[in-house]
Amino acid sequence: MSILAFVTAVAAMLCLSLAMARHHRDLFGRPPGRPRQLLYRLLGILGTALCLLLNLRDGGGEIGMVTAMGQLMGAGILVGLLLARVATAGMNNSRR
Amino acid sequence: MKLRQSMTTLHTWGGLLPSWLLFVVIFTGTLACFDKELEHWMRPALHGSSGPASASAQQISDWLADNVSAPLHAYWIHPPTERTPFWQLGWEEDGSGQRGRAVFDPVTGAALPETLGGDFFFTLHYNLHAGQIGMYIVGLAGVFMLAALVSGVIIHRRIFKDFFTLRPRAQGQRAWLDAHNLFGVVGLPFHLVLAYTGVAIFVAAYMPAGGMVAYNSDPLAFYHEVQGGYHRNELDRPAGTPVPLDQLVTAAQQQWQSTDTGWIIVEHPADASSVVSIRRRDPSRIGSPQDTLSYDAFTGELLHQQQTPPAYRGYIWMVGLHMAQFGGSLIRLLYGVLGLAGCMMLVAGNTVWLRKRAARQTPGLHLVQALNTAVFFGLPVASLVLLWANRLIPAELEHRASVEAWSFVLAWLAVTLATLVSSRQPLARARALLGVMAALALGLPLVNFLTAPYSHLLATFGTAPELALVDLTLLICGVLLAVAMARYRPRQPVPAARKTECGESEVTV
Repeated sequence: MSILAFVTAVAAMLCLSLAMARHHRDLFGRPPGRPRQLLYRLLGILGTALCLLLNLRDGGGEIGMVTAMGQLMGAGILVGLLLARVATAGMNNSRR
Repeated sequence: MKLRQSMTTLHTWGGLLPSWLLFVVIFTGTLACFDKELEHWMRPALHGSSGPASASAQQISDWLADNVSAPLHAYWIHPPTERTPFWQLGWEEDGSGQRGRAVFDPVTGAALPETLGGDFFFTLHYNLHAGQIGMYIVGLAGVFMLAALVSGVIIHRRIFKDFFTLRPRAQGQRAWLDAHNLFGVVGLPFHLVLAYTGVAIFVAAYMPAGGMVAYNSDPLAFYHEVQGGYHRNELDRPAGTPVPLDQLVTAAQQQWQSTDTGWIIVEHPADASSVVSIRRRDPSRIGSPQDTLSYDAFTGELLHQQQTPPAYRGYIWMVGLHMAQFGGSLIRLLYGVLGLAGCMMLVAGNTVWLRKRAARQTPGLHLVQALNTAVFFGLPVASLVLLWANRLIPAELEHRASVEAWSFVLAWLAVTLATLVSSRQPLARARALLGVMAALALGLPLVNFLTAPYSHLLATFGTAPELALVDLTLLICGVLLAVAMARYRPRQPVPAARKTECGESEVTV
């Protein structure tokens, strides 16, 4: 279940990043429209809440909260590194 | 001067000056998350042993009586656990205060060869192996880190807009500033909590004046009241016949209705006042329960059951949150990853400082470059050399742990000397050191294979995952370092027109 919670955290962070024009442009070539931006934000918040709930259910209030925070921070760094990789690959492709 | 300007100065200098010390503290703290796994890995004599655990607390106590002749102030024993499958013994001599440590096979009860173990990194993390002075230095560095984190938040204009931003191909300092921000901002709650709890753990030692005044300069009285603990002063009368320790352990387990026994502490064992305190172990909670039972060592009478005051429970919760000994390997893995993010934040921050000033040739540039290399490369290299030494030094060598410590120190000195010798070629130096680290990390599983028949990856993969993971981590790190070395090439010089914007065009760690 920890893996599911971490996957949820990564998905939540990815949604929050896609709500930002720069990262959406890196992935899809254009910034998100206003409705899509709101949808990404909503999904990001829901994913964060789900990650928290899954961890609270598995680890209890005390340890679950710490695990959820750790997973969200780890997911944030992972998404940052992945987006950098995608952006770099995109730059290489456009040069070719 | 405006707030943001003054905070920028604080962040720049309050971050740079303690950064090398903070790197040592954070890197060793990250390793210390896995101190017990490393300790197990560093004791290959344990890996082949099989059979039911038959050694007992009394057997360990008897070994101490047979092998240490000096009168003891106290000694402490810990039974085997899942993460530390061996008996641990520590003691402090009366008068001199000299401490000793030994570890025993749980099956045979035989003493195992000396090693520094994972505890070496833990001690380096909190006091730099320099006692109270070291603890104060680390505490000061922690305060600087807190100040740098808070000022960093104030000066970061685009903290949310650039939350996930990392542009590795950006010119000049931009890429490193992105990395500094990513690892610092995303991991900010972790860095803040760990820096704060790290300082708060030793707050009574940093600011003892209040306690000393209130308790008539008797720190022991302060600690006993705060902890709700028990202490009996020495009577200076000869000791009687002690009750076997195993009998007291059984009594404690019956009292708790649990077999999770932690430390067994015997105070002044050669005096009639001797007390045996037995602590309950509970890794399922952030703050350990502090449920200690104290027995008379000669009658077995239960003298005291610890009733921890709420304030101390709060303190223990903070200690537990910092130490990451709860919640299993997932928590330790997360702490490990976020600890490495903290190290990367420091490396990137120092590189930003360098690149900002490279074009101007600011005084102290070479000193910062040299310190960066000596610490950011020296400590990981020395840690890997320590693990190599653990496998290569013969088990029967006297003072084996000291030889391991010397190998660590000499490896770090060697990197520092190499840094001084090659001060004019920072890029070639960094590339060479990446190669050295990759070779050390990739070579260690091989050395393990050649020297320890029951400890290498092929032997432990299915049977002892905690040992196999150490080798696998080394292999993964080795491959990543080798790739980093292969890709680590100076970029083409930036045309003069763009150079003013970008600063120096090469990485100068």
